Amino acid sequence: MLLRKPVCSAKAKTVGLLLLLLIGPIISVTACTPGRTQLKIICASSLMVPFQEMEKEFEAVHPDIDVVVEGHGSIQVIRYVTELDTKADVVAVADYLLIPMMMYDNQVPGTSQSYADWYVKFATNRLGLAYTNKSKYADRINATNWYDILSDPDVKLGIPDPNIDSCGYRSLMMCQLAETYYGDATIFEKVLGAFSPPVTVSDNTDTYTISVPEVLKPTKVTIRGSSVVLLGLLESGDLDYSFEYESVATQHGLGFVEMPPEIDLSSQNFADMYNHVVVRLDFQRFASINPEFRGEPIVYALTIPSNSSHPEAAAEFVKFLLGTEGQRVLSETYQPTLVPAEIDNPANLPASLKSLLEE
Amino acid sequence: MSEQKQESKKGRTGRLRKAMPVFIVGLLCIVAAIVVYAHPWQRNASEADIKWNLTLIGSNGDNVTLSLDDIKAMKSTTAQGGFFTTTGVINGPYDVKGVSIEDVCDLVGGMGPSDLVFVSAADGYSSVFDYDQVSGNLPTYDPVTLKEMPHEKLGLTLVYEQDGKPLSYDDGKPLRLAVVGSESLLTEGFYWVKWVDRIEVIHQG
Repeated sequence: MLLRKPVCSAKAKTVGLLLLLLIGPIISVTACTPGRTQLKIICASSLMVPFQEMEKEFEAVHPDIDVVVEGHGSIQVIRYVTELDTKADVVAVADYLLIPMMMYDNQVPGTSQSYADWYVKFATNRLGLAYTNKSKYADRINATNWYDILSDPDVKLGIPDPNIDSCGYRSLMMCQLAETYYGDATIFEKVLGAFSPPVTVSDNTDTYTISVPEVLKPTKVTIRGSSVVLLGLLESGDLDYSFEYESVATQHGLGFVEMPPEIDLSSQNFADMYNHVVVRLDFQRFASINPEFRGEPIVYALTIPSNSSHPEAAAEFVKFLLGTEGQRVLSETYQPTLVPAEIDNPANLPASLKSLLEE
Repeated sequence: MSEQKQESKKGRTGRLRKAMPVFIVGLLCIVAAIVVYAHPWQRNASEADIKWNLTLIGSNGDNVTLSLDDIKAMKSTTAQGGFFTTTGVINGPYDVKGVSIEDVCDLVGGMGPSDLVFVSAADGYSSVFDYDQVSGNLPTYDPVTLKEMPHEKLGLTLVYEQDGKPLSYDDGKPLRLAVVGSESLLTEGFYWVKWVDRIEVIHQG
């Protein structure tokens, strides 16, 4: 039998090359992408420590998923999805109200879908004072004398800039609430000192409105943009105390002065009391956000944006976080949890998360 | 002769037939490479260059619009600096080239000691500085330890080149505000406004 050498006609060559051309890029892109699904999570900066731990534990049970966690201020977390065209699979913020405010009535371009139509409240926090054992009067400061100690001109206090950091405007709220709680109308000024131009507080029947100028120049306290800088100044001894969330202070091994729940913005029981204080920022940092914040209990929430690239993997992560293992991680990283978690618009939960309603 | 011509024509046609697939493949390869790797629909870089302008508004109401070419024609400055995010992620320090914000403000009447300058971007983000801050009175940090440390000369620069290359879109192309100086120090990231398209000087009461 005569074996004929296979002949490749010009037509066959063309078809082959075209096939190669079509398949080539797909092969090369696939080759460039790691075999694991990359799950992008954008969270509030104060959640970075628990979420980085969550990443390790989640990946251990889901080796096919590569979790990537990125931290920002809470408004910025949502802006990344709604204004900066970033595809996130889960967003988690330190103020649950931001999700309905920025995502519910905001449509994904080219679709009729909003960026989100549900969220889960899953954690809380409380505001207080972080300090080190080198801080002046560290051995005697407590919930009844903190404002007297901070009034001492030799005590160096730090506060995050209210124009930049939610912890900053919440610190102003706490000082104002303290005046009512302790019955001392001088606490706000004694603790924070004067500012130029001034920070003003107006008392309209049942609401205190704190107005903050565009650029805050303090005469007594140290102001920096974010907590991460103030923690460094505390650790180096350049500051004695700094307003901080309990979880962040504890995660960094710092002491924490716990305040009464009537002023620390932690408790739903005192929500009506917190509501009496409003902070109005003269500077509008984000065109999409009215810079006026009313006192509310600190509640963290998360959602899966409707344009998530990996909604199924994102749902797995949310289930993990709200499940036994996730709750253990939050507890071990000192993040106070909200038990049971509360769902807004449960009817809109993705099918893969409906099981949460049965728990 | 005519047979030779016919032969020659046949030869050319044959070569063309053989070359055509290679030509098509090459062309498609180029198109595919652009589509797969450049993602032009995401960045729309050339369009941004064409449409972008910087609007300047002075405290006296003066209004000037500049193109990137206008800005590049101004006296340039080179400096070093970087920034860190709210979670402590360090970016830079970079070697940057751009124009001083003071020079830009001078085009609309300058900035006085009781003025504020608002720097805004196409994405709706803004930052604000008083005279002291524009003059370089901002905290600076060591790029390794993030410890606060003093600086010598510092200022606000509208940057169009970073490390010898034009800014990328992700770094704020075509113009980004940077806090930079003669040392390679860091500042807080919220000052570094990307995609700057408007600068307004406002006189404070």
